[in-house]
Amino acid sequence: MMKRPANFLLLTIFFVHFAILVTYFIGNFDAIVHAKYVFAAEKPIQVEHQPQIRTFNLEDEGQADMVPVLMYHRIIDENDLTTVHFDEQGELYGTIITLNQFEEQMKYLHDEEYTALTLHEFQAFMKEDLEVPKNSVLITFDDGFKDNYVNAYPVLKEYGFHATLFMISGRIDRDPRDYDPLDAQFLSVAEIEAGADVFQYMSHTHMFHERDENGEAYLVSKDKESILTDIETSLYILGDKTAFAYPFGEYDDDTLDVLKELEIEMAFTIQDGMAKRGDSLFEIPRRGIYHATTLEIFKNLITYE
Amino acid sequence: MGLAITIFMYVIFFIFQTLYIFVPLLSVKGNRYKQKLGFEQGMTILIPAYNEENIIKNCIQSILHIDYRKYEAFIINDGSSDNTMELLKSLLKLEKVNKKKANKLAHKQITAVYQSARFPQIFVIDKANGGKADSLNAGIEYAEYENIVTLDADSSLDVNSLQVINSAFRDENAIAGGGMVHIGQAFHGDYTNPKPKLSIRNLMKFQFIQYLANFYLYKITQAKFNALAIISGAFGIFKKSALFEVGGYRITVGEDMDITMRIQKLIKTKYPEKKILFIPEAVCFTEGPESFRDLFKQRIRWQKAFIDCIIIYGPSLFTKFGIGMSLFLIVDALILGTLTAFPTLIIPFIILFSGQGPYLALMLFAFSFSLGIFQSLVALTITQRFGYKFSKRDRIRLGLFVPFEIVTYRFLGVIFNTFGTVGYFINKHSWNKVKRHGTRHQTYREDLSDEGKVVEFTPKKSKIG
Repeated sequence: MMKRPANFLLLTIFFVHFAILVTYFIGNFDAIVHAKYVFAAEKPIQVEHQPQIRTFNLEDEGQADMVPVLMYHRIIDENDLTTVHFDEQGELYGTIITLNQFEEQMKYLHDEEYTALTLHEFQAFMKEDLEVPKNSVLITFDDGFKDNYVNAYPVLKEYGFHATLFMISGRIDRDPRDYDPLDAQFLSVAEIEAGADVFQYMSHTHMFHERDENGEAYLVSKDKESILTDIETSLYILGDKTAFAYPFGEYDDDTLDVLKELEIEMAFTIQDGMAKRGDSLFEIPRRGIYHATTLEIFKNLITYE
Repeated sequence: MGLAITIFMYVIFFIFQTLYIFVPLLSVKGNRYKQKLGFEQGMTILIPAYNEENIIKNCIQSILHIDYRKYEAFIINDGSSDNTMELLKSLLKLEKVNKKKANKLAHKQITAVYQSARFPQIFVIDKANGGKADSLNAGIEYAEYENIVTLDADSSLDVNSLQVINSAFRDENAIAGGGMVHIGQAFHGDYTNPKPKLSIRNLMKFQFIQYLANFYLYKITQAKFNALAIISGAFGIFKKSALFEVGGYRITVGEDMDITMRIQKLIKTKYPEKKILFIPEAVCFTEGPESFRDLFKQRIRWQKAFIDCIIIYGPSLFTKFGIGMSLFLIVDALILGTLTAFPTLIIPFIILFSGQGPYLALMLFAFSFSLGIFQSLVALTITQRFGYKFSKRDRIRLGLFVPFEIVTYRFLGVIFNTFGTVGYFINKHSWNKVKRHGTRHQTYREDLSDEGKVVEFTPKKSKIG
């Protein structure tokens, strides 16, 4: 006789308890099942994402019908160059240019009254929503090296230039450390935030700036799902899906599908050429600037098709 | 895909765990065998003893105090290398006797059979070492009665145990049965009514609760589905004819599961009306390992025994075993109990390295944690229904210990199962003997002196009620 109430009580508590748990689980099924724990390395970067579009006075110089997109990687001071920056033939690695070269190029752009577009101005230009001055460039840096902030940022800021950084978000340095040109260091969170008045940060994948054992770029060799996950992570961290740059310039139809699925609006290749209106927004060519690019060559690259 | 499998497996797990809560809660009303029967069936108790000088005295003590007349007990000294035999001789005043033997089972050479001059219902078989199964076979050979009670030397029978078995075995279809095994260290006081007393170490509390769940929840449920796979070697009852029919015990790492499996097979293939009972009212107290090391050894052995039986009897499940039995063994014990142990062990690392799935893991843990609480609650409820009362202080102790145990000690099971399974394939037969302490926790009105005299026992502080 005594046991009935005990059974009743226990079973009632049992059913109510698990009904609540099950309801909660089903109600939040997607969130619970798919959510990943955000480790420090995947915390989003806190920067302003407001599109910046200026209006240009086009009466003096006329409007552009094509824009050179400059592609830089590392900018290092000559005095800091050591053997680690040179290949076996004694040549400076192609992706490194000296601070002098960079200053010279930027000064030239400034003296010639070039306009360094923001990414959104460039996008509006490509979509024929905006006319930009005849002498316009889009300055981009790939990978997100620390020297972009240490060396390039002061120069760009001095001339009031905008630039776009394609970041390998998985390499973002979570602990601030001193600049060491010998080391291939990447931007720290603090530097990213401090440089946000000049730079816009876009995705260059999260961890997929790699090649597999056959030398094939991950964006081509890996399966679609993991590519999607990787880029999605980088978009989450950078908080902006306006543009993307293909590592090594390699991509295929699947990559394009992924970018469209993720609602990325533009993608840059390493194909040489001028960006022209009406061309595909997912295969925008760029002008690679290397150590061998003298000022004369530079002048040609920004002028001629 | 992985997600679907995980959720599916979890649902199955949940169903089994829920059965273990509902079936006992709704079916156990209390002690069914309070009435003492006038008629006594004969019972033969078999106690294999290998190097048990520390503890055998407790066991004999308990047998002498059993409230039953028609029984005999055989202590089988399995070639002990310590002083077990000498101790038995001095305790029991042994005299050589000629006993009739069935000659149906093989076993190692028997040196002599003795009878106690003091307690004529106690016999000792002295034989060459051959292991527990071998000793039991030798004992069966000399057993006079049809009901064989097997008992471990480190276990003490409750005073009413044989009465209860006598009542339960009025059921003509009972071919074998398992009794309730309690952790002796958790019970104190007068032998006629030992009471749980939980001022014991956490390791012992853990085993105490585990045994309650294991017997009162799992075995009661499994018996309802005719799925009892293990009659504990510590305390089992068998019809002698059935033991002969299956050819006695097999020498293996876990002879208790092995014999139960073979009797289950006998039922399915030959005697479908027969059944194996679980009799929670028949109680014995066993000494649980007192160190992690010993607990580890014991559990590794159990797991090895389980794997051994799965390998031997697995292929004939469903055909030569009943469906309930087969399902519980394959799904609950093998898939959920053993095969998931390894993934469970690596889940924390997956979460740590990939960040994948921590919320799902937390969610499932919330389910498992509440299941664990409910099971412990029901196990303790059932314990009370069988007449054990917890003091207020012990209730508080349990209330604090159970949630802690679920997130700590319970994970040991995962480790035991993994090590035991891997260990089986590395070294099948090593079985390390667990150290016995022989500390007695129950008190008797008389005590057995070393000279073999039964003397008046004077309790020190514990009240006898």
